[in-house]
Amino acid sequence: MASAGSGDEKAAAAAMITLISSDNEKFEVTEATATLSQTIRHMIEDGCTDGGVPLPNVTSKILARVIEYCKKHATAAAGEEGSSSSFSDAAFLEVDRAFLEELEEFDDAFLEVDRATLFDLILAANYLDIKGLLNLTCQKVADSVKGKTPEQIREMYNIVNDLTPEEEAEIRRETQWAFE
Amino acid sequence: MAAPPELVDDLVEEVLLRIPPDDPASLARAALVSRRWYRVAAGRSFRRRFRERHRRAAPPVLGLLCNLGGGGGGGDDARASRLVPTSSSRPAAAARRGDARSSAFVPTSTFRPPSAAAGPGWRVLDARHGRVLLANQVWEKRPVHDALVVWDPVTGDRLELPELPRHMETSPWTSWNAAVLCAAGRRLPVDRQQGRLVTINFPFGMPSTGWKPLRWPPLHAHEPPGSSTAGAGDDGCCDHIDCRRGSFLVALVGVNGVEVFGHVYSSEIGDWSMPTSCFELADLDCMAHSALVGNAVYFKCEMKLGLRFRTHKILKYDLSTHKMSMTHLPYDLGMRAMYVDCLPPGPCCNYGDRVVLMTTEEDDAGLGFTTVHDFKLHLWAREVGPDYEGWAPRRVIDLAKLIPTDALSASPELVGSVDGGEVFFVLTVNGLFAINLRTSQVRKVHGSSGIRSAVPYTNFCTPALGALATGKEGAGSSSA
Repeated sequence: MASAGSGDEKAAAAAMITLISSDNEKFEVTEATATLSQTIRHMIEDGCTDGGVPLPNVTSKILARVIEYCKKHATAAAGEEGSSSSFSDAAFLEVDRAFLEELEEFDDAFLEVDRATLFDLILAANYLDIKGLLNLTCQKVADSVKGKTPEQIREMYNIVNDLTPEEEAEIRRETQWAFE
Repeated sequence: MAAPPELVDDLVEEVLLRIPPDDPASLARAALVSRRWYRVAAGRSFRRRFRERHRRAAPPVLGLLCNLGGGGGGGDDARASRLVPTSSSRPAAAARRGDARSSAFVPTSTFRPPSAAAGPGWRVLDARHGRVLLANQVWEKRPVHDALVVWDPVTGDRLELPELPRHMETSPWTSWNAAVLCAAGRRLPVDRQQGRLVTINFPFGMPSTGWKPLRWPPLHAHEPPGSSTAGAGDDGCCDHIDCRRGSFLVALVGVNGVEVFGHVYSSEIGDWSMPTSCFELADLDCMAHSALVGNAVYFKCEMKLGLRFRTHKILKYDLSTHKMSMTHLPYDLGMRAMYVDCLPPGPCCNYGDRVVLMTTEEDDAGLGFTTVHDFKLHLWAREVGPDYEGWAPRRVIDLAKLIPTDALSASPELVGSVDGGEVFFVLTVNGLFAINLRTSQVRKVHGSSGIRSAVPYTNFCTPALGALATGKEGAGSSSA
């Protein structure tokens, strides 16, 4: 059973998918990379990926970043599977930890983007249904909000305040303790 | 570049869900960013998901409700309370002054109660399932209209309970205590003959006209009536993560020189039950926080034996049967040595000044108690077998390894614990420390040593739908 599985995976790894961004740029990625996205996985399962997958909601700039993330995390996932058979337990744990640390460093570096790009990444992760990326980016925004005033948050993320002064005053009054 | 990207509701929710629950201030400020962020943060879907996401780590301790009083003596001078926050906090002003006969909220999180129900003249009895039970100290001397108050620190709502006829009784109360708990899924004590709860003010049933029970919570104009039962399932099961707006019970027990008696108040009925009683010799420890296990509330009692010894007892008030019974805690080690022939066999314990009752695990699993003796925390648990019931020592924790040495010039005192037996609050000469046994984390939460007892306030605090609720969008999200 194991050998049959790895055979399938090899076949899958060889298959390439073309992703087309909203500004018509084409990206060739392996199926293993592309299927981190549940949206694309479903498209592949339905067999509608011939001639490329158009992603009208994602620009080439953001798609390049998303693919960068998926490539890294797809190799990490493949690496974990591969290593389990070829290393002893201790060595495996060692490799596993190294992998996780490397992945963490990658994620940290990956998040060093400007605020607008961060929001774009959230939107793309949501549209493509990539759970790990969505969690990573949303957590980054949640962390950045800590200790900030509403004005600072608006400024950071370019959010328009559409509350009337009266509404804002009333909400503030309800949670006055949070502003002292 | 094009217009700045904007997150849709679902994604704002994903972001807000990841704000830690012990930082409700950041959540409240984020809710003020825009109409969309506010609507999401105050929406029911977010409220539910936020609790479910973080409940594995249990609701955070937002603060401590402290009864203040310069250490030592029970009596009158130790009867004030306040809520002390436990994270990144300024101590409440009252706690700083350290005035006796007062209570305070001492924050342990970024949460601050919007209105100060605790304070001078109030004693904190209990905090459970999002509600706080306070006693007016004037009630010790004369009748008052607000003898007992149930307070919701998140919304500031208060409900005054109808008075019990303590000042009309033939034998005056010598000691008493009370507990508050969610009513969902708990069977009320029912009179066999009449098939319903027999209450004090309406012993023959509720008057058919002109009478309404006091409503909890006070209904806000902007809130649909149905929303108050959120969290409490129709099947009677309640996970107590979002039930603070539902109906509640208050169990009150007292000693009056003749007997030990108990009443239960139901917010649904709006009245106290007729008393139940048992004949036992003991005094209730009015500063000891009760413990809830299953349908029974346990209160700590004491009995003096000569000048030297106290025996510790526990009063069990079973709310489903409306019956009370008393059991012993292990005998004091010194007493065992002295009365070696007269006492029944069993383990004995070295007691410190205080004994704190608790539930030993989450979900009301079992009863336990903890005491501090000789710089060590001693944890005990009640063990119930098919033909055996008794106390067994569980863990001993050396406080000298956890608390800075300069705070340990005198043996510390245990003032409270969080249900589940993982977090303990220990008072030293240098102030109050929170000790988390699971994470081995020790944190100083308050600088004053004038704290008599501390009841942790654990809850989730998310913004409420207020200001925008009358608008179209607000109504939409509240029914979502």
